[in-house]
This record gives sequence, structure tokens and C-alpha cells, in this order.
Amino acid sequence: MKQIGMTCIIDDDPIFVFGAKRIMEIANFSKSVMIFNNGKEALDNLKSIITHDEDVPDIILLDINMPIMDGWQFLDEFIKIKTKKAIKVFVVSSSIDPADLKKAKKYEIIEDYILKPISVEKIKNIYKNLSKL
Amino acid sequence: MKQTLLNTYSPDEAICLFNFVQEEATIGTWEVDLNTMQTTWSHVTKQIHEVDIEFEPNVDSAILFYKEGYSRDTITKLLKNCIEKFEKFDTELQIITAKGSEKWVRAIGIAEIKNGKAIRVCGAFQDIDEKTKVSKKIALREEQFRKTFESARIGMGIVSLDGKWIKVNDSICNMLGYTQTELLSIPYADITHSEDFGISNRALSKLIKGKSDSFEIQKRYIHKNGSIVSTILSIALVKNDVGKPIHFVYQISNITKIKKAKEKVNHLLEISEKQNKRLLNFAHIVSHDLRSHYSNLDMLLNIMKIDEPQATKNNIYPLIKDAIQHLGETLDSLNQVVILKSSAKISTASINLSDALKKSISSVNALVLKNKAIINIDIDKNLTVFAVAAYLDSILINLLTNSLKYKSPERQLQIDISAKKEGNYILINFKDNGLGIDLKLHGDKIFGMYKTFHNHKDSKGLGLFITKNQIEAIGGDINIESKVNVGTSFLISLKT
Repeated sequence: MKQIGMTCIIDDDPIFVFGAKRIMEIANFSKSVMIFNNGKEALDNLKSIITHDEDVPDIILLDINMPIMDGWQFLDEFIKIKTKKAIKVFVVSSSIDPADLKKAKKYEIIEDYILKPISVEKIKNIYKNLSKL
Repeated sequence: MKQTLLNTYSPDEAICLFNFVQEEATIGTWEVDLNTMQTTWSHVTKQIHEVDIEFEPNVDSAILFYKEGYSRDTITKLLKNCIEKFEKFDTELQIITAKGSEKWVRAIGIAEIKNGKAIRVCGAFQDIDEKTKVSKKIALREEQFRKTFESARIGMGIVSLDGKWIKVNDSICNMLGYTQTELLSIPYADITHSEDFGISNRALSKLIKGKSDSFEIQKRYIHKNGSIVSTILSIALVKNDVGKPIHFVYQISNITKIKKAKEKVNHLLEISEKQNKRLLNFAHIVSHDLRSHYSNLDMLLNIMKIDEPQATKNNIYPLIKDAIQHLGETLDSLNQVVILKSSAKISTASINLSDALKKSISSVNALVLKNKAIINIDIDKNLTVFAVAAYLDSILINLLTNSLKYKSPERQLQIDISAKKEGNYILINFKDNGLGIDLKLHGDKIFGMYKTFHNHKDSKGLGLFITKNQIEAIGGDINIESKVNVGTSFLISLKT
């Protein structure tokens, strides 16, 4: 099973980040992981990474409710950045508000909406779906 | 004048003129010679009495023409006084003519005195029937208006063309706390709310210019005690026979209480809207923030199981795992309630009841088999209900799982589901032979939030609350009949 090169987690919750990293390790999901604590931090850093053509992530696991810049605001800016390779975005949120689910469907860049809690099975499913693409 | 006029005519001509005047003015003459008691009526007098020209009156028969009672008594007395005390009389009385019709007449009498004794009484006799009837009618109308005006519960006032009170009724006085005299003398500005000053004046000038006949405005007056009196003021312009404006009629209804009540209602509405928003906000916090903590707990437990398997091999770990799973389920149920309460628009469709029920049963089939339940369905295959498909499914599954959860350990569970059409509704009877609920104890809170009635491990207390809300959201109704240890029947009506 081929690994994903670089996964980017954008989430303000350290417990989630800790758990997600560990679960990805267990699932042998990704070679490396980069973490940002909110949309703004992620956007600034990703812009710079993409311009300098450094370690551009393959997928982004994006939380919705975050301080400073939330997931939607991040996406609205992020889709304006031109990238050489397609970056897949997965929304990973604990929100079961139908409004959020509905909104997610409007973004072409969003591959899927994954409801927290995440588990080894769910992470493995992401990989399976990516392989199909 | 009369003398001069008559003098220019010959005696015959004068008599002719005299008769002419009598006829035109319907004034007749009469006289009684008190010596001979000979009574003479003029032509017109006879006409008024509707007797033949040959009729020969006498005092007694003349008096008998007067209407019995007041009229006859009065004329008898007046005539007596005229003869004995030489008192003139001029009165209006009623007679009954020879043809039986009632008439108002004016009778005038004067005595001719010789040697201190009346020798002759004579006078005039006029038909005033029409005039009297008209004026009596007017008097009656005026009386009616006066009574209406005075006793009206609504404030009424007559206002001059230049905007001054001419007359006010008691209701206005009570409304504004002034006496009639006070109200007529104080300036209009003193009883008008400063912000509303001038609005009625502008309207009055419009009325006078003939732009409209009446109008209605909301106007605030000031009570003698300083408080504001909110009113609806209707003003009508009254014109005379030739269309010239005479005065205004004001009608004032006190709407202070209504207005205050309305303000209170609006205030309450505002509060409840705010609270509703706060509640939705709170619900959102529940659905998101609490859920994220639950997610973390669940995730960490799973990692623990993999990373620290030794730490999970005890009695406590599975209990924590259960507790967290229940927390997640409760949050999901709560979220359903939130969605139900916040989604204003729902789209209903006509759904086949029998099919929907089969689908719901199949999704809980594992539980049905595990509990060895018998389900009897008696529903016409053509019955349809108006519902949101997801709601109907949730309602049916909830009722099924309720019956399965709360079955009696003493007997095999049997669920009977029947439905019939009644008018525009489908009545569904959902009956089981389970534990039952003590309705005397719990009847009023059976469909409330967080009410559990059994010590069952899966009781979360939201099921029936959500079910009732879903049923009501699609215009239906749910009721319960239950006996402890006999079973429970849910009676549901849904639109068809």
C-alpha cells in the first residue's frame, strides 16, 4: 500500500491533532504531516510553500470551526492559489449541522466530509477513496 | 293695515278676500253667542272638522270633536275660563274629525265683554297637523340624537368649524378626566399630545374644502392627570340642507388598553424571538462544541486500545467506552431536535403508509428477530399520508424500537399496527403488549424532553419528544393509551 506523501492538518484542537497524527501512524497513512492551528496560519504558510515549490501537501484535512480564519474562509482564499498538483481537501469536523454539510457540497475542491471522531477505519477509507481516483 | 286693505274693497270683495285668506292659510273662524248659545263655524272650520257645509254645530258637539283626554279637558277648561274670566286662549290640541282622522289644530279664543259680562266668544281655528307632525318628528329625532350622544360609550363631541368644542358627552369627559364645563373652556392644545398637535386641524381643513366627507386618525390626547390617552378619532362634517358645512361630529374611541396590550404582546414576542435565537445558538453549541469533545474522547479511547492494550484490560474501560457511546447518541438525538425546531420550511409528500412501515420494520429487523416479536399489520395497501419521508421513517422506527425496548419479560411481544381513513386524516393505531406506562403518574409529561419511565439502559428520554415534534411538524397528532403490565397504544393521526 502506497503512502500519501504529505498530509496537512488544519485544526485548532491539540487533542484532535495529537489523535489524528497517531491514528495516521497506526494506519500507515502518510509519510509526513504538517500542522496548522487555524485557517490564517495555514493559508500564509501554504502560499509560501506553493510559491517556493517546497513540500506541497497531497491532501488537506480541514476543520471548519476555528478561530481567526475558519475552514470556509480558508477555502475561499485557498482556491485562488494556483498549484502544480491537485491538492485534495477533506473536511474533518464534529459539526453535524446540515447547513455545514450542505455548504461543503458547494465546494468542488472538497473531496468528502468526514464526521469526527476519526478512527483508523475512517482514515483507511480516505486512502481507499483516493486510490480509486 | 287690515283696515286700509279692507277699505279699498267693496264689502263683497272684502268677504271674498277674507275667505280666500282663510282657505289658503287653512284658518277658520268660529263664534258662540252666549245669549242664544248659537254656534257658528266658518267654511274652513267645517272643512277642518270634515263635516258637510250644512252641518250645524253647537258648543257640546264642538267640544266632543276634541280627542278624549288631554285635548278635550284642556279645551273645556280654556273655554270656561274665557267665558268666566275673559281669558284669551291660544292652544294646540288634537281633534277627531267626522271622518275619524286625528288632526292637530290650533284653537284661538277671545271673549267679547259687555257690562262686565261675556256675551260672545269667538276665535280662529287652524289646521296645523302637517306642521306639528313634522316638528314632532324632528323633536323625536333630536331627542334620539341627544340620548345617543349623551349615553354613548364612545366619546362624542360636536366641534365648530374653527375647531372648538361646542358640546361633549360624558364619555369624552370620563376619557380625559375633565368636567363638561372644563373641557369646553380649556384650549384644545392642552389636551392634545404635542406630537399629534395639528393632525386633526389639517384633516379638518381637508373636510371643509370638500376633499372628503369623513376620516379616521389615530390621535393621542392628554388626560387631566397627565397620562396619554390613545384614541381612534373619526370626524364627520355635518352639512345643512343646502350643503353648507355647519359643524363636525367627533367620535373618539379609547384604544389605550388595546395599545398597551399590543405593546405587551410585541414586547413578549421580541423576548421570545431573542430567547429562541439564544436557544438555537445554544443548540448549535451543543451540536458542535460538545460533540467535538465527545469525538476526542472516543478517538483517544480507540488509540488507547491500540497503544496501551494493557490499560484497557479492566472493568472500567468498557464502562467508559459505553458512557462515551451514549454521550454521542444523546448528542445526535439532541441535534435532531434542533434541526426539527429550526427548520421552518419542510416539504411533505404523499407517502404510501404500508410501504413506509415495511421499510421501517426491515431496518429494525435484527431487533425484531432477537426479541422474537410478532408484528401484525392491518393497513390498506392504498392508504397514503402526507409526511416528510425521513420523519415518517423516524416516527415508525421510534415507535417500533420503543415497543421492542419495553416489552414484558413475561410474555412474547406482539405489536398490532392498524390504520383507517377518517375524513382528511389517517388514524394509525400502534399497539403492543409490553410493560405499559403509568399514565396517572406520567401522563402529562409523556412526550416531554428527557422523560424516561423505565430503568432501561437505552432510555435517553428523547424518543417520544422527537416523535411528537415530528408528527406535529407535518400537521398530525399523537396520543397515548396505556396500562401498566398490559401494554401501550399510540394513536397517531396524519393528514392524507
